[in-house]
Amino acid sequence: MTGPDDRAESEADAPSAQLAATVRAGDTGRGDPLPAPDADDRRDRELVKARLFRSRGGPVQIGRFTVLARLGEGGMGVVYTAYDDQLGRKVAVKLLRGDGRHDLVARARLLREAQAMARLSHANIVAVHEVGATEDQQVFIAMEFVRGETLDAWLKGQVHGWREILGEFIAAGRGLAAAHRAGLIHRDFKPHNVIVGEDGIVKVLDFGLARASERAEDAADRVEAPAAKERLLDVALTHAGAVMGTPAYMAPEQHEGRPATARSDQFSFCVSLYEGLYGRHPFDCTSLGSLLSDVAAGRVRPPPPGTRVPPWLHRVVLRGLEVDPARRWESMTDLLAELGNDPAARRRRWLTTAALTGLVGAASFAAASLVPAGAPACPDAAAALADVWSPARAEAVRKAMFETNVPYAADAWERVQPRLGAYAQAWVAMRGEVCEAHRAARQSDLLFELRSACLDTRRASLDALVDVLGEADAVAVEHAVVAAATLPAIAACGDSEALTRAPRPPAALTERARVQAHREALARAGALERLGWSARSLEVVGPIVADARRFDHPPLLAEALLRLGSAQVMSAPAEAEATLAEAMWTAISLGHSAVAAGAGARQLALRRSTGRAREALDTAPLVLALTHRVAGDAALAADVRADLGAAALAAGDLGRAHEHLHAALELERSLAPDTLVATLEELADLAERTGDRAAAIGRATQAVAAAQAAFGAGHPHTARARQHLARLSAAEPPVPADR
Amino acid sequence: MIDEQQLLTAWRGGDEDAGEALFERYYDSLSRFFRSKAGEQAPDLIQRTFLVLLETQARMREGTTFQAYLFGVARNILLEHYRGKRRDGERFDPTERSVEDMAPTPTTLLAQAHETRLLLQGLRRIPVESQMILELYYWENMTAKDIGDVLEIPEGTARTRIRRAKQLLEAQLATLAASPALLQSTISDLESWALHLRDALKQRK
Repeated sequence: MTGPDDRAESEADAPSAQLAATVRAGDTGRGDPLPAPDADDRRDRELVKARLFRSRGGPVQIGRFTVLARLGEGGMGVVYTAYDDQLGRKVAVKLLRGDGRHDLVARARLLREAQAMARLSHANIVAVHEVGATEDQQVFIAMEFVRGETLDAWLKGQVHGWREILGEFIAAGRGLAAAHRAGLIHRDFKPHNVIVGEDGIVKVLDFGLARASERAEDAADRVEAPAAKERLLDVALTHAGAVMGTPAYMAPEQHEGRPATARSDQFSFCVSLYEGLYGRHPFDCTSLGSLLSDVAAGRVRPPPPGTRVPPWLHRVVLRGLEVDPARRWESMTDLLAELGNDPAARRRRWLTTAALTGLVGAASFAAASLVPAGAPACPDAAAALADVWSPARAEAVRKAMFETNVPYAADAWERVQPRLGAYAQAWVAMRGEVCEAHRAARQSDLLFELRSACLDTRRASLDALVDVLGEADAVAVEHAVVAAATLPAIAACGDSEALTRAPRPPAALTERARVQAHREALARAGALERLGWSARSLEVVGPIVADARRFDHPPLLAEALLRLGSAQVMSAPAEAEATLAEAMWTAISLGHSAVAAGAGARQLALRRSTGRAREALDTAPLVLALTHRVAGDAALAADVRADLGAAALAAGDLGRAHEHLHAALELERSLAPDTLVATLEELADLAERTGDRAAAIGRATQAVAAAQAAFGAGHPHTARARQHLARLSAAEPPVPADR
Repeated sequence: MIDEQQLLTAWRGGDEDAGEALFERYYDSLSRFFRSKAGEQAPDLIQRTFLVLLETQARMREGTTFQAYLFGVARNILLEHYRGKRRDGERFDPTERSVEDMAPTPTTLLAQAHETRLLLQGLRRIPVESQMILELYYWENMTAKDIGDVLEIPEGTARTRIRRAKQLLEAQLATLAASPALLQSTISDLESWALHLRDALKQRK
């Protein structure tokens, strides 16, 4: 094809030797001219080929997905439509560019972030179905296929009124807020990353991917120049003259290369909203220089003259565009609340909030939101809980409890509210600490993940409890105090030793996400059960047990069985016995100590409460050995001792009853007062059986006091304790302890 | 190696093996050609190129290589694509407009090494015709005669245009390497990055 002489003549031209070298830069002697085809290119090739030669070759696959067509290409990679054969649905598959071939650490991190994305489930977020890697180690993300247009196309498409525009943005903002609550930052929010579906539903796309792909970039490049600026330059150079890409939406702290936070997302959101409302960018985008100086100085353009957008809305958006993140809105949730209220409505809401504050004493919320004000690098932990425990939700619970007309509802509420507040506060503090410790490299990635997962599960517990209390009935009101007190301890998420000793989550990402999702559902079931709604708990747990059996992750199976057996205790004691036994032996075989001890303790309690005191006592050595393995869980140990004491008493073994009950009492002194009540009553019974009436009356009096403190005067528990005392005081002959 | 004209004739006669052989032989070249100018539209344009090849019965002019014929088709498809993108019916002149003017998504550039990236950016900023000429010359190793066939111009004119294209690209590279200095007023670090680039370029001399 090429005559050497012919070309030699041309090569002699001008200063072309250097040019030729430059043009062929990267030609490493393979003879391949630049640019070399990459993995995306190979996939495109297969697609084109399949269309040209229909009889040739198999379908193009990405993971288990069959590629249908190429949908488009964005900064992070190519997007295909594909078919999910297993679930018979169409999905969008995004192949991330920069797969970190040289950097396994970056890839692991990316996968971990993607896993977090897969856990996000919200109406205003494009759901991530699966994350994986292709044969050539390119990371792909399979997500919900949404038919629609991007928000920027929607905005450009036709003229919309400001209310309509605001409505779309508020919907997108809800997606962001939900992600923030889950501790995820978007990092690249812009109208292009929002889809307005044909069904009118607005969904945010590509959470965290900006960082994910940035991290997976060639690590060598990043040593010399600050990554953010370098990327900026790329974009600036390729877009010079035209409207710039992503930098136009970045917060000042991101421009400076500092880590993005939830408030950086808020900034990007407000840039987008400003642009949507006024039809022009808030900063001067004619050059990168003008953009950067405007952003850094907080020079926001005034609204165009004659705009119909009301001034209050402008003020709300301006605050989100503050240079100093601390001066922006507290959270997306707060911003959305402001956006959703015109001033008249806002004044009204203000009054209601003030009234509510007076009523319920919102001190605990204030405390909760003050705790994490640490380094800005960690996402606002309070924000991650804002939707779980907030004044609004507290008020919903209060209202529901009061509306049951149960006479002691107010008493119960007074005790539940500070408990939940304290729990929330402990959660926020722990979340902050986990993040800080990880950021300061004081804990391993593994431990960070374990602790985060533990906290996520705790949050699910709290969320479910608040949720259910929000529709409380009389039964729930009766159980509310104990339910609030027995929320799984936050401290356990700080017990590194126990966390690392427990069985590891599965290695495969999707399975890990599945296990975590199930764990959170189990936590919800636990809350239902604690509120006396065992039937509903069973509904939740049943399918999880089935799934855990199917996909073979024994630790999860053990946990699900424990929950199932626990919920069966009321309705089907015989089945409960078998379920708990299976849970216990499964857990023991796995070294899953917490579950083994929990199952053992429940089996013991079941035997005792069904009149099988001897059988219950027989399990004592095993159950005590199991609880010994989880020494950190004082509540469980106390329960076991109390049950053993009651069983011994029922069996007439007064010596052992004394031993166990005093051990229980000792443990319970460090716990909430409600745990003491039952033990004190058992001790009263014990004293009565030994003929020491004075001691019995003394214990019964203590029990009444403890019940009063724990539940309030009108609560059934207190009433029972008082009757007990009255009976003892009335000097009736002792009745056999057959309760 | 079987003659490409024979392969094409066989493909037109229904022989998919022959078509596939052509596809394998030229896909990468066409991909480079379209990627640098039409971004993510490239796969569609490649497909259209092969379809035009298959469906038009036109014969190559005597003395034209298959490669030159193929790129001639590709060029027409690219220009058609650009014209289609212009809404107002404005004339599109490939000797004036650059890819940068047309601004397709430039994302594929991000993955490349600095020098390559700079080069690709430079190529995007010179008129499309000059870009084509340089890519065919350097990447596809085509002669001035072949390039003339692609552009439907005499060989002598092609030679002149190759020279002209090189000058344009060099001017662009100089501007590009220097242009971060323009931005330097706001970000001091950009300049050092630009220096790094220039050094890298010098090493290649």
